[in-house]
Amino acid sequence: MSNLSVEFDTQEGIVKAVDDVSVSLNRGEVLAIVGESGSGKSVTSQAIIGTLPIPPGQITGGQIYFDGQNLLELAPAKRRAIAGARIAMISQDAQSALDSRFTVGYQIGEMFRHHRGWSWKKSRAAAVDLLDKVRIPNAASRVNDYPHQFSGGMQQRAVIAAAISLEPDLLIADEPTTALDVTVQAEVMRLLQDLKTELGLSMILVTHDLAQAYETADRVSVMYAGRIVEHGDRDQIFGSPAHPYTRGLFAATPRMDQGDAELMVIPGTTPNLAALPQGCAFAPRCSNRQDSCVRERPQAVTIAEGHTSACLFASDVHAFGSPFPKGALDSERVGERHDHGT
Amino acid sequence: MTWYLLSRAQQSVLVILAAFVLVFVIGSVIGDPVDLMLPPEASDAVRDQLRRSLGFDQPLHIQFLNFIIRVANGFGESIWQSTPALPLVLSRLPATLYLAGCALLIAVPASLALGGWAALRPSSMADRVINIFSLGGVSIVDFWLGLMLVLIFSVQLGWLPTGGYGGGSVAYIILPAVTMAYRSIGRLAQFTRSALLDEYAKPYVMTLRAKGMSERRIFLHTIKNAAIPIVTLSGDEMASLINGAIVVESVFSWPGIGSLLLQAIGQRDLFLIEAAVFVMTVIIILVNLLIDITYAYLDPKVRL
Amino acid sequence: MTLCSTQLVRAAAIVAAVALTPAPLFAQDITIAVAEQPDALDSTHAYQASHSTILRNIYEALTARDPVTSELVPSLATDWKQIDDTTWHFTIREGVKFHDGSDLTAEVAAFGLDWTWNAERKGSISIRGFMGPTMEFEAIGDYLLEIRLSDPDPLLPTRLYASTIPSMQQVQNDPEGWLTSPVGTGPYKFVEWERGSHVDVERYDGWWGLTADDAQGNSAFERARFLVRTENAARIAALRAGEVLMAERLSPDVCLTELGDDCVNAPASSNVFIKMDNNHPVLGDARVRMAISHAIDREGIGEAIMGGASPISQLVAPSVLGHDPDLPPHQYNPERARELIAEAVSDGVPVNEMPLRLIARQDSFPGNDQVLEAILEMMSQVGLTNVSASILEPSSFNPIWLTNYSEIEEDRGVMALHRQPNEWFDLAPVASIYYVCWGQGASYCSEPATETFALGSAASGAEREAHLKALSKIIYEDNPYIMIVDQPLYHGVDKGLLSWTPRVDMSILLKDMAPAN
Repeated sequence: MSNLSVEFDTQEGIVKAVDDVSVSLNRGEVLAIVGESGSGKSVTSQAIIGTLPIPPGQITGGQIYFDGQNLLELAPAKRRAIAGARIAMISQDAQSALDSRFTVGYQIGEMFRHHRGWSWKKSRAAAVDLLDKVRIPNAASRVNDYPHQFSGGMQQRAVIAAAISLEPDLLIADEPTTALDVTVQAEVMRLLQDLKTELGLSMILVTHDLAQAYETADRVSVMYAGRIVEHGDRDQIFGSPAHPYTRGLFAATPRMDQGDAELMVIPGTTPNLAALPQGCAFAPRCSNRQDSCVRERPQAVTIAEGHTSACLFASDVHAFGSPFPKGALDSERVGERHDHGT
Repeated sequence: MTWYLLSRAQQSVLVILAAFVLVFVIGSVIGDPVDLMLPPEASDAVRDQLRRSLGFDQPLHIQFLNFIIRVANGFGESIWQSTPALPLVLSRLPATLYLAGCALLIAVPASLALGGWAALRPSSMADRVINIFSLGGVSIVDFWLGLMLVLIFSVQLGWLPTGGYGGGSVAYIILPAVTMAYRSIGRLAQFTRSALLDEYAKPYVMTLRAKGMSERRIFLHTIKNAAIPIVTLSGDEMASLINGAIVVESVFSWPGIGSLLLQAIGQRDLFLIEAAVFVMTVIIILVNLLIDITYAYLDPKVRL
Repeated sequence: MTLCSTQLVRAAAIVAAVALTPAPLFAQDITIAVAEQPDALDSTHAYQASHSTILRNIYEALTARDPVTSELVPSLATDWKQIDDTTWHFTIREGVKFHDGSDLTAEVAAFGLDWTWNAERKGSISIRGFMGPTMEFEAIGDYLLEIRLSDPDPLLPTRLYASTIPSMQQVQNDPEGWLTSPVGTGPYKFVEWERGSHVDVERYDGWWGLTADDAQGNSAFERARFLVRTENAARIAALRAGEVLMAERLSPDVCLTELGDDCVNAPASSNVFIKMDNNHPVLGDARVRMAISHAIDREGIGEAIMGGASPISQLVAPSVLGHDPDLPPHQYNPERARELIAEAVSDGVPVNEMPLRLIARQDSFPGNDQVLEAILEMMSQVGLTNVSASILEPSSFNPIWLTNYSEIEEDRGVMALHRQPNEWFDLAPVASIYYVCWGQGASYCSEPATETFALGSAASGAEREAHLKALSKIIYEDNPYIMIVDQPLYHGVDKGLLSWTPRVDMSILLKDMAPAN
């Protein structure tokens, strides 16, 4: 994705939900996009898969290349053919993502019936297999159940089942575990990782949960106010963040070893996307703010290979080093880390 | 499910009883039927005699008692038509159901098509045209519409008969059913449109698009969801078609319950009015019950 | 009831291929659109305007009316004679058979008349609304019927015109059938009645009228269907679409504008007038009453509101016995009206000091509310301003209308707009209500009028006519009530296909009809 910009026409005015965003992902990689709500991460993923509501939304610039093709130039029918089959998406609220009037089996089966023209019988059998694969017990009988008969975690698994049914190349997971209980969260994430290995998926994980990002991602992009403020591989971002916002995020994350120490917060409030300041979007809340930050909009600066930051004082921030105490990252690790090299 | 049906049945009985008492109360204040049965020059003696023979000279509570007895015995005999009241009303029921049924059969598919079309292309020219068309349905007086249709299709073009039942053959049902259907379309099309628009705004539709589903498949999903409020409204529409056919039945001389009731009121035929109201109340209740059952079938959450 | 869904599939093909106007039953058939749904088809309903179009083809009475003069002529009785004050003999026609094969004899007639007049059924009670003394019927010969009255009644033959004779055989064996499957002696016999839809009749080849020369008419049509179309617009549409050859009783404005030449004007069915409280200080003054009469633009009302009615001077139509043709209607003369009012005022009459009420009964005749408004306006234009107008429900109107003169409060001041039908073709019954001091609805009392009435009602023939005409003249001169316009009937007739001339007695009979050519 290069220089993608998406605008929304709202009552308060034109909102630039995504502003000149460039991101890349290699096959088999996991990219985590982290940021607060309203940072533009969901809009970015919607732009990729093509479910942006146009109007009121509008893509005002940029390209999205998928396997060599610019998705934004494709005819709607071709775009639709890609969605679900080659790029799949799961989102936060599994319950409302599913149609409560149709069985889970129907909603998984329709992927096959629509994209491949399979029969009812064949697609239903495939649905049972998929439910099995996502570790839902009694798949054969549960395939005829309705969504409201599933628990929250199982609903999300069903959604995942539909998403991976056609073995897509890319899976976009937009806050997949935000609505789930903590214990269930871990199971679903583990499932996703297993499926990724098994099916060779590439994944974009949109999240505000930094631990999740750390456990799963190969590379991380940090978004703020519709812009990418920092991008790099996992160790770079977590080991030595080069943007005040990223550092702020890490500082604000509660940790086991904090004890009774007061939680840090990033001062100020979330930005009003309809009235962003000239210059750096984070400047109003940045403790290291200088005059130049208010005047100039920072461009991305390369700190190290593959590590960029959109801050005028990126190298200074980078020099602070890791915001976590030594060994803290290691001890928080759960699950396997997949080494794909760069 | 059975328990649900039983409790609904119990409610229904209460409603019917309440309707009865209401009919009796209203009937006793609409005025003396005797005045209408006799020429104005008739002497008081003659009037009193008629009044006595029909039991209208009794005090109100005795009349109410007679009313209960009459109801228990099948509603007595129609004062005006000199034939048992309940069978007379029931004999008109098929014609009204036929008319209401055909009207609904025209209205529902038309509303789904129009409402669906408008929902899929909001704010387009088609949407505006459909909107005006639906507005016509709820605004136009059915008396006028019926007569206009007769004027054009029966008198000028000679394609269809001007009225009557015609033994139930198709030519005779077309104009009355279309007249009634138009009003229903007015309500249902707009409702379908907004119900569908609501559905299209829901998250599961975005999921379907993310799954690459075609507009056709998405429509199947949304329409099934929107079906519940639409079915409920259609059922309500059915009840008002059955009971509101009075005007259309008069214009087309359609021998249904509506025209019978209208004439019974004009003739102050209390017994016939009572019988007709009873039958109509039961119909509404049955239709509502049917809606409830359909609702349960359509919405898995209610069913289970 | 057929399943309309399957039929709808066929509908498209049918509509495309075949013309859908209903074909006539047979080649020589007629369909007529009637205005009201019959209550029942028994013989006691035949006299009612709402039923007579259907039933008087099936049933007949002892007497009938001449179509032009409305005089009583023989029907099922060939002759009648008044034996004494309270006894009459009627000679029953021989050789008449009912549709069920039974014969008409004096015994059958006696039974039928007793069944009609003396029973406790609703039908009898309404026909007794025709008033008159009670009657006893006895067959004193095979074909000789004696009727004994409790009081003298020269109008007996007229009253018998209203009561058609049912089949004794049917009434005795199948009284339910008497209500729904009529059996009579008329030129047409009953075929079927589909309630709310139609009544079918077919020619009866055993009708006595086919071989007699005083039957006044012939059954030219093979079958007839009477379609019930209660809506005025529906009747007209049926006529224009060619579904019926005749549409009875249409509202004047639509009939005239839409049917043009096919709109037939039948003689007056009733007269519209205003009955005044003559005991009131204001209304009791003859000048005020005359002023009111001159204030009213009868022609205007007749044309604009009633669709072609004519001004009248008397309460009965010209065809009625007792009508005096030499009494012209009062002229529209508001100038003169104002003069008269001024005179009355200067004489101390409390004009406008006492309120007057102008009332009418709901739906008493089409347009009555407009007539009421018009009259109110016309009265105020000549200076009568303390007048209120209202339309009343029957239960409120009737007691006011039917209060005898002696019981009317002096300050009641009611001017009631109403209509008087002409069913009797004799002034006496009407006069007995309104013109005599003891009249049920009389709001005027005059000794000369009452005496003249007494003389006329006891007499018959030329003597009767003379007295009743004299009574008309007295009333005209006293001017207690304001006569306004008549109320003609309007029927739609397809003149290209149907030949028919209206009868003076307002009835519509199949035997008067024939195909046009």
